[in-house]
Formats: sequence, C-alpha cells, structure tokens
Amino acid sequence: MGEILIGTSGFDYPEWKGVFYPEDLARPSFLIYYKEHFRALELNFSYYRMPTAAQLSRLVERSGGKLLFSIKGHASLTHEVTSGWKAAAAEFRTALAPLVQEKLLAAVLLQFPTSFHYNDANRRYLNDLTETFAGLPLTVEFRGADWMSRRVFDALAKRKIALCSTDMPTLKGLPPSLDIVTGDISYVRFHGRNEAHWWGSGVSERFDYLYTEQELAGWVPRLRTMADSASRLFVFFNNHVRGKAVINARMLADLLARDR
Amino acid sequence: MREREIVHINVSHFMAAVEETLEPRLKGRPCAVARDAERAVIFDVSEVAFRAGLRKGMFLRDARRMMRDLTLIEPKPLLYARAQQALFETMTQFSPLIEQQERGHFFIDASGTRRLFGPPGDLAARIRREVKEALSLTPSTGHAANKLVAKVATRVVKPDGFASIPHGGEASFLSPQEVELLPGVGPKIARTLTSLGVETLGTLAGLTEGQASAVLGRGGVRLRLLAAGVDDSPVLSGAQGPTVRVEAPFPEDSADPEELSRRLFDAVEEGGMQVRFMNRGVCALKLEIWYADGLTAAGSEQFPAPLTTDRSLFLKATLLAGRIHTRRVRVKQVAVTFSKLSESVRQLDLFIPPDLEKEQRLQEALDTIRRKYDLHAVRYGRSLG
Repeated sequence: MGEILIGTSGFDYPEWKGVFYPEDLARPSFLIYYKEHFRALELNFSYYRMPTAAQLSRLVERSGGKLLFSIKGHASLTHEVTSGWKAAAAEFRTALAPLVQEKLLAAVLLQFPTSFHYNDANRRYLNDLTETFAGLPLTVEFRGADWMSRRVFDALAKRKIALCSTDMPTLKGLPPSLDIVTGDISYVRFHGRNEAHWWGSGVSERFDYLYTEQELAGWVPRLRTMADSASRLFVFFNNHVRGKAVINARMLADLLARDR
Repeated sequence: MREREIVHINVSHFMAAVEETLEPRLKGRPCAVARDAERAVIFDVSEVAFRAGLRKGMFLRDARRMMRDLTLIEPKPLLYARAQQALFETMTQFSPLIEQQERGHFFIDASGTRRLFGPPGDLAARIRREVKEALSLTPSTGHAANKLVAKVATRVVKPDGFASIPHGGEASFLSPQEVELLPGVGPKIARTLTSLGVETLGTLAGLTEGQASAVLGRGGVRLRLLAAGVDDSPVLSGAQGPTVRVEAPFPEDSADPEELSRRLFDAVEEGGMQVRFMNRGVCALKLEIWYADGLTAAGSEQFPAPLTTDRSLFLKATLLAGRIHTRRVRVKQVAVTFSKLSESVRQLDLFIPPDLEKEQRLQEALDTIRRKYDLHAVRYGRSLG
C-alpha cells in the first residue's frame, strides 16, 4: 500500500500567523516551521510567475530535504497558452532541476480551466505538453466534465499520468467526484465547497471554506483505496484562507490515524 | 418525488478476480477461467487478458493462439458462489434493497439512508472499502440518481475506480462517454451508431425521436432517453434479483439424447448447488440449446413454489428440453439459467411427503460433502456417462 502524504497548497501566507505559524515567526522561517508539521507541499506561486532553479534550490535548502514538493504548472502552460508555450515548458522544466536532483519532486500539477474543453486541438496540446514533461511524475486536473471519460483515462494510464481527484462544490459544469488510479502516484486536491462564491469571485472568497470532520471522514475510504493502488498518494488542501487548509490537513491526518 | 440514491458495485472479471485473491501470483498475469478441454469455452478472463483482447465465451483454443503465456484456471463454481454470497452479506448492513444481477454486480438502493450513513456518495465509497477489506476485491463503484447512470459510471472507471454523479449532473456526465458503455448497446448497435458518426452518448441523446427510430428501429427512442440519463427502473431485491447461469459444453457435437441428458444434469447440478448455497430456491428456469449449425433453441418455465433439489430441477429441465429440442441437429452446448430465486428454501412442514423428505435429506448430505471438498467430490452416475 502506498503512503498517504498530506499537505497544503502554498505555505507563504502571513495570515496563517496565529492559526498555524507562531505570531512572532518571521516570514523567511515559514517553510522551516512548515516542514516540522508536514511532509509534502504544493507550490502554487509557480502558476503566477515562472519559477527558477535558484528559487527552488533555496526552498529545497530551507526544507532540509524533509519535504516532497509538488509544483503547479505556470499559467502560460494551462490557462494562457500561446504559440510560444514550448519555450515556456522548457523553461519550467529546467527550473525543476534541484527538485529532481534531490529526488524531492512529488509531481508536476497541470490544472486546466473549465474553458479547456475536450476537443481535437486540446487533446493534441495535452499530449504534446505532457511529452515535454516525460519522465517526471505528472498529474492533470480537469475542471470540465467533458474530460471525464474512459478514453481519457485510458490515455492517461498509457502515459502513467495521474488523474487528479478533486473535492469541489457540486455545480453545473464542474466534473463529478471521481477516483481512478492512472499513474504510479495518486493525487487529490481539496478546494472547499463554497458554492455561493465559486464562480465570479476572487480567490480569497472561493477558497474560504472549512471542511467539517464528517465531510472529510467521507473521504477516508476513498483515500485508503486509492493508496492501495499507488506508490504514493498526495493530498493537498487549497482552502488556504485564514489557515483553513492547515486545520483541515491536520483533521484529515487525524482521521486517517484513527482509522488504522 | 423523493430523490433516489443508487449505488452500483461491479467486481470486474469476477471469477478471475476471486482467483487472484487466493493466488496473488496470478495478479498482473493473463489468465482465463475455463475447463482444460479441447472445446472448452472461456468463462472469465483476468483484466490483463481482457486488455489483450480475450473475452468471455471465446473458445480456449483460440485464446491460447492469441496469448501463448495464458494461465488456465480450472473453474471453481462453489468458490464463486461463496464469494458472491459474502459480497451480498457485506452490503446487507447498509440497505435492505439490494439487487444481484450477474456475478459480482449489485445495485444498492441507498435512498433514505443519509441519517444513518451520511451522504450517499460517501456511503458508496465506504461499501467499496468494506468489500476490499472483507474480501480483498476492489469493485468499480458508481453512485447516481438511477441505476443506469450508476452502471455507466462503474464502466467508465473500470476496473476498480469510484465515481459519484451528482443529481442533475447525469446528462453532462454521460455526454462524453462512448455509446458502447450504455446498457443495451451491443457491438452491432455500436457499429451502426459509429458508422453514422454517433460516437458519444451526448450525440445519441441529441437525436430527434424520428432520427433515433430511423437508425435503430423502435428501440432507438428508448436508447435515446437512456443516453440522456433518464431511467426510473427500480432496484429489485429478493426473488427478482439474482440469477445463476451455467453453461455445459459438449466434449464433441452430439445428437445423442443420452449425452444431452448428461450435460443437462451437469448444468442443473452445478447451478442447483450455487442456488442452495445462497439459501434460495428456483422459481424460474430458462434452458438454451446451442446447435452445431449456429442456431439456438430456448424456452422457459416458472414454478409457483421454489424448487431446491437437483432431482426436481432436472425433471423440469428435461421436460422443457423435450419441448424445445425439436431439431435433428447435433448439439454443442446447453445452458440453464435459474432466476426468481426465492429467499425461503425449505419450510418445515408436518405433512411433507416421506419421499420428498428423503430426497431433501439426500440433497443436504450431498451438499455437505460438496461444500467440504468440491462440487465433483460426489456425483450421480448419470452424469459420468
């Protein structure tokens, strides 16, 4: 059975002071504190600005080799794709070198928007993009129900790319809650169930959601079963507003410990 | 109307999966469950063999030609019946409304269980986990508002995934799926549809009634509705749910009535044992005769009271065979299907006729030996030929 590693999406939130980080902890020490409590971290800054090897090297250094890093693909690879995407993909891959060298790369996360529909052009693009990351652990998150088909899952399995399972609000247009192990690793993201603010709101409202223990308990059998078929299962909480991701990550770890 | 919550549990490649739990070295290998005989038909294949193109119903010799490293597993009907019963019992703790279809397939009506077990999607995941922990089988599991969508969901995430389709999300979930995933669409209909460019359920659902019936005849209108996720069929528990089907291939094609009788008895004996193991009796019998020229004959009969002994079942099967076997053509296989399996097998009756009681006691003695050893540990002389 694969190990279940739980973490949060991002860590550099000053608002987590008092909730997770001690009030007097300086921002440069956040990661050092984080690594004492979690073993995996999903880096999200890489979506907003292209990461560099030097940046990731510094993170590796501060983590003391105790964290596995997942890294979210840059917007130019998923949301704002232009004809120059290949250069961006190469730049992104080059930046990952410190994580790869230290064997600390959990996964490259490619999260596509709802507007990324299942059609010939997008299928070709996804194939080409994932080929540029060949040899690295990859996970793909779709926000459109039209990708949730057997032929997509077969194609992912052929390439050993993990389909990212998600917990999101139940809203029209969003994919159903679905687990299928298609890669060596498995991957789950918890976004919160903030139905009222999912569409058309800012990040701070969309991800402002605290899961109840009952809601997370419903996931325990799913996670256990996924972990049975994967080398490792990564679980990340993206409901980061006011430290809710940390509270829920700890809650889930506790539920899993009690389930043993 | 109250919202329905249906869970479909599907243990893919049931016989092969059960065998793998006992022999872990079989995992990841191409396997076929079949008798080791020249004309044996494959009862089941493992996931690896399935992905390589092998299918149930193929001749073993053809499968061996396709896959030289195929591992042959001798069928163990009692083991599969036991596993089926254990699966069923695992599920009964969550709902009284459970429908068993073919082996390894269950529908559970979880409507109204929220206060006891939480959200039905979570319950579906929990049932899947309980099955895994109790039997080391990981079923493909679907949850939806009706049987059809739940069933398609298990097909989409085959062989061991999980999907929970929210209420109102049926059509958008079905829309991108391939037409052959829809129950009722076999290879022939799928070919017809794809040749016309109808490859997904969304396209099929988008046809007008006129287009659907022009392409597929009367059934087309119904398929179009199913493709849109419309289904109100109930979960049928108890007597209407499970069936037991046994096929008995002939060692070689034969027109000999004695040989037909022997194979019929083989099938009845094997099926009868499975039914009794489930503590049930047979209220409906279907018989199929497959001729060497490719044609088939079929007939069925229902009984007001459940039949339980091999003797009584064989008597009915023989009478039915006499009615439907009217051609003078060699036979290659017979198949019996027992359905409408009643829960109450044997009622204590002060006035039970002495000969019937004797027959039942003999049957129980035989079953005890067979449970302990094997179906073929003790046999009637008639089936040895």
